[in-house]
Amino acid sequence: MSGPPEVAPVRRLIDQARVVAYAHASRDLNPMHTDAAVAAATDFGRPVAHGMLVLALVSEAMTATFGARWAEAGALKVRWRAPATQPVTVTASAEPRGVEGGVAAYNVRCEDELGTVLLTGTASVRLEP
Amino acid sequence: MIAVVLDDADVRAYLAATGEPPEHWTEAAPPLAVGALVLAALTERMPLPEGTVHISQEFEFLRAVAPGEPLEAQLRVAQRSERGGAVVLALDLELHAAAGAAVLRGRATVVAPTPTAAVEAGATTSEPPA
Repeated sequence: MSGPPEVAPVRRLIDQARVVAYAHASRDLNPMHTDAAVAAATDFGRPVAHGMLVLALVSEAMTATFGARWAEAGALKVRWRAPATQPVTVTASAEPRGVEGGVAAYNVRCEDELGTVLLTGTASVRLEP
Repeated sequence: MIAVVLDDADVRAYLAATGEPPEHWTEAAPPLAVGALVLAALTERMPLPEGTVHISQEFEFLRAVAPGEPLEAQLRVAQRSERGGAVVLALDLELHAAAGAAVLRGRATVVAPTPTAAVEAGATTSEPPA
């Protein structure tokens, strides 16, 4: 049996402008992501990108391989491991684990440019019958 | 239930913000765009304390969502525990088409710094806490 299709990594700069745009697009206007004064009072000390924005790069990588099938039969299970303090260049990758019962499974992760792991988890797609 | 609609402008704004190429999303919304807006809509209805951190997320995408399609979302506190003075909440969310079929399911786990009435176990978006 052949393994899951390869998923190409996605690398993207997440800067303050992107975070502000994402805050409006997602309607998550929590100032800890956009306001340095508010963020300074948090455990992070600085504005951090939305975790869902970091996760969006994983979804983009899966979409590039599976197209709209990702929206019809995909699944994600992730945990954020470290804050993404912008500006940060994030790389999202998916390592094939195998195909079982018609489901292609991957280990996914996001790292910053220093190799800090921001997110880990799994992604899967139920393949076409 | 909370009404949720993701229109073309929402999809364009999401794609512009994330930088994702639009080629796959001319007739359907990116599933993470749907998930993000559902989370925003639900947490607006069930406010979480300032300083709450989203620590993990699960999503199951059951079918593509078309821009403009009327949807209904529901949130339920599935688990509540305390750890080091913070409250850990597992929030189950489900998004249905108006016709009733589920299109997305998920679980968000958050750590809230202080307990609030709004996040007590058993609260749902359709049954606001008294």
